[in-house]
Amino acid sequence: MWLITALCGADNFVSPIIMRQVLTEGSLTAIIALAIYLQFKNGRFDFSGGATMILTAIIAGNVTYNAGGNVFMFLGLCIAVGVILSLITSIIYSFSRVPVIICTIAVTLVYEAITYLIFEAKGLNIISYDISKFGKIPFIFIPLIIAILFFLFYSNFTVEGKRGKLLSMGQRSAVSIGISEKKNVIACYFVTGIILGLGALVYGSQNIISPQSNLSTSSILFSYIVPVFIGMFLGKASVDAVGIAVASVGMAIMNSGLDCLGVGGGGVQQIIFGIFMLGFYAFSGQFEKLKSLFMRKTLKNTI
Amino acid sequence: MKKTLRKIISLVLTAGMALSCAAFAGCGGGSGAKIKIGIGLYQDQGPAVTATREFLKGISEELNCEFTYVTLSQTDEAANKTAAQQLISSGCKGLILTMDSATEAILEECEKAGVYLGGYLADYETSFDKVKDNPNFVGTVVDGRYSGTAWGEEIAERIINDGYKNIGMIKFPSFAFPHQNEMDAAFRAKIEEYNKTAADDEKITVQAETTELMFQPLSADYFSANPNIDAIFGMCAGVDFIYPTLTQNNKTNIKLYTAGFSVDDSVLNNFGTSGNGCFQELVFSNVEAIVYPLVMLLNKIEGKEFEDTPSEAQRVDSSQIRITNNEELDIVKEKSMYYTGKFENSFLTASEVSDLLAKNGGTHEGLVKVVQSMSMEDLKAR
Amino acid sequence: MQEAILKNKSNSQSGFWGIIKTHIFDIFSVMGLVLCVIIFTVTSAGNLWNAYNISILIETVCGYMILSLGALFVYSMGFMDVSVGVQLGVYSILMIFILNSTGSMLLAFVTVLVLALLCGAFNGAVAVWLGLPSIVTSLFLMFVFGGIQYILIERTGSNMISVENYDISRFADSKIMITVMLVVGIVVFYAFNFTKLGKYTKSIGANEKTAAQCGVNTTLWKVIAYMMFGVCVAIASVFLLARTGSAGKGTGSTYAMDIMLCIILGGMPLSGGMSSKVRCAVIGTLTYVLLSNGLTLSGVDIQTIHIIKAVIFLCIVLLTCRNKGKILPR
Repeated sequence: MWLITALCGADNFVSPIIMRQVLTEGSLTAIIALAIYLQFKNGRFDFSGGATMILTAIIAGNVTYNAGGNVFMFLGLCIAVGVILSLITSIIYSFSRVPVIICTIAVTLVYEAITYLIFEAKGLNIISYDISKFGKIPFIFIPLIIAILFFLFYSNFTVEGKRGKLLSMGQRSAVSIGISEKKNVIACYFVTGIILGLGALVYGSQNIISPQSNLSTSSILFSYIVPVFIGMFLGKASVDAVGIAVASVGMAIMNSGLDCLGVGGGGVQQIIFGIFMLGFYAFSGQFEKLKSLFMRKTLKNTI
Repeated sequence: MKKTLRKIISLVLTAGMALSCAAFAGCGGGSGAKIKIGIGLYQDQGPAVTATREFLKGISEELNCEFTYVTLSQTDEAANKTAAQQLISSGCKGLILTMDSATEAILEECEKAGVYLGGYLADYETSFDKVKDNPNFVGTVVDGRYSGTAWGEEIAERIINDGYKNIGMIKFPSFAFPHQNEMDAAFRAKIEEYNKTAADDEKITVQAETTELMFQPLSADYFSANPNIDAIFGMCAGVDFIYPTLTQNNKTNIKLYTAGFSVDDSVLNNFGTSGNGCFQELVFSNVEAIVYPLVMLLNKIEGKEFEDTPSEAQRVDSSQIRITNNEELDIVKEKSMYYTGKFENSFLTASEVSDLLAKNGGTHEGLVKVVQSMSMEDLKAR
Repeated sequence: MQEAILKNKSNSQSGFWGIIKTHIFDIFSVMGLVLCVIIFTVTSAGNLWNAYNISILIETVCGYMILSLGALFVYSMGFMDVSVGVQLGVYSILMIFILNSTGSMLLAFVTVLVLALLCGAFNGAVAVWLGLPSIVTSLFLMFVFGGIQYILIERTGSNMISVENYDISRFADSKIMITVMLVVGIVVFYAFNFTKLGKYTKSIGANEKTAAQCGVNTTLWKVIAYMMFGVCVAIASVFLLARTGSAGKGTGSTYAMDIMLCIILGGMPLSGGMSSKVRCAVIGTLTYVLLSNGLTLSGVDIQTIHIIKAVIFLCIVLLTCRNKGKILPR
């Protein structure tokens, strides 16, 4: 990106302000992408992540502000409310036996509607206050690190995390050998709730939030799903959480670079983003084939 | 047992659905002799919405009106036409819409149904010339002044007096907000005129090319591209699109002169000399300006027009409240209905609005004068 | 023993209550629609049935119905297309450009039809060839078409453009809309239930591997299914444009999610498969449009409309989309 901006004459790309923007944007993207990926990893496409995050931010932010609380109260409330809302989603899903996409779409509509009914439909605006510290550098790294730690701990060091992998790879077989799917869903949503709560903390600290409706929060899902797919591929080289974080920072670098080139935010940026996304997925989809082709050639040359 | 439970749950859910609809249902159109007016707002929440609804509620008895609200879409013309059609179908005799979206199609529907249409805080830039001769279109009241030139010059004068030397320029895209180009040009012309006679160290530098925000908040690279700015003229809605970026990048020392207003303390506590002092000018339009389309509609519906009704529909400027210092902000907090959301703070009482009607001796000239007499000076004088 | 089990099973499925049991979810989805009609008839003081409102309903339903019927082929495979909204927007703008410069509706329609077919083919084929999830190609089209829509409107120098050289409002006539809906409905019904297209798309949704092993060319039928959807998108764009005669930078943006909601409200499983039915699209679309219309006519406050719609949606999906079985549905 630096090369492209330098060749195009935009010399303001490598600057403290841009690096700050990249890290800030990348951190938020990474936290939300981790929450989406955790559900993905367990075989579920959860539509309600965006709505959960928005509602959590509105509730926690307004309660903290009205109570004259501090940044730690905001953090605690975000996690608590995020967990509660996610658990409600998980209970509805587990006991209603409705397919997860449909169930989470319904939950999204309900949570979005609630944003109009609470706090006089004002949404949240706390960006100028001290309680928004976690939205800025260096404090933004705290929720990011907590989110990554929870993700890694749940996925790799807990029984339910490992059971989740079994369920995603062979749901019927896993249930047949005695794994309680409901328990696993609730555990997974509990951890997702923590991560979404951290996402709400950062998102609410950086943005003015208005009430939402008509599945507008699904745009959050579709924006942040791109780093998830990229991160899944990058994570094959190491740890998936690291892949997600790297992908998130990469997307932020691309967005900032396009801003510096003067094509940020408009139609051209969307087109470039779409082409990049498809190109990357195509490469990652064909990676194994290319790898085996390369190894065959190397072997041939050796022989 | 399980099956019975499922049946019971199904029945309860169905009953709940029915009850919730019935519980929240309004009169459904059967409200006697009251004139039903449909209002299409561009948002469904916020201080402007609250104040508009309070004002209309306050005058509804006197005018024998009933108001129904819908939210218009900023992007979908078909949805806006559907909203207008639903208002007509629910019995509305007049529509007041805040957006120029699918206007010609909506007017066709109005013609078929014998309903009238007026605009509120919308300049109808795209369709005005096509609809101004339509007998079902009663005209519109603009969000402030139609031409952006005057405000551009006023801000330039302020900046010259306030002593800022490096000015950033930010606006929305030209295709969406063409009048911001006028503001931009007028501002630059005024500064250029000043620079001709100013000493070298007093000259003001204006950002060479105005930054256009593609309906997204300002990007942080703006500050690396413009490192020395000390003030920004934000022709767009700076509260939502510029201020958050200033805050995130610790640039609240840059002074912001912008259009828009917020009742949020996070904005008002940083205005003028308070807090970080980032906001130096805020502007908003009075919700009471809705009396223009409302009175014009009621005249048509009641079949009594002004003696001086213009031959074609008008696009009328309205006065705005410009807040330029903390004293004026305090006055707004105390006296402006936009801030308090209370009808008692309205510029107009119910009987004053009633007097504007043609049947009560009102004139078009008088009506226009009223909507143009709601400035900061008028607020101070109350 | 086995005979007894089979006999027991056939006994439970025969007879009136057996039929009810088998089609319980379909019955609930129809009941949901009927309940909406009854409730809104009462709460709107009969305004729901006035001639003007019926014409609004027909106008609103037309676009959604055509899109939902086309979307059946895609959703029955367990896929979704999030680019349909921006495609509608771009097609509307292109039609306006062509109509304003040539005045030929045929040329405008053929152009968008070709584009829609190409997009359908792209969605269906490219995902398979590149080994990608189908949502990826759909997202790609969403971003690219969104960008194109923005650029096209920006180039006009105005917030929106209108049809000048052609009387497109003739397509807003109720009779034409009803006729087109019926024709599309009959064609889709036939294709979905009596042709290979419907059978193969449902079997791909049920189990793609099994379908492939049975000799079905899954790539080919995916492409055809997406192209069928593309035809419906092209037709719907004509009627969408006819409603307002104009298009802007956000035209059609909400349709992708709206179509998904329509189909879900009709009781269609998003995983597709053999339980996909044409009536899901029909009932779902009618319920969705009626909800919005009825709530507005009933004078429900704009902020309360959202929660009511959400609760009603939740109730309907709880009644119509429940799965039996040991494992949780995905």
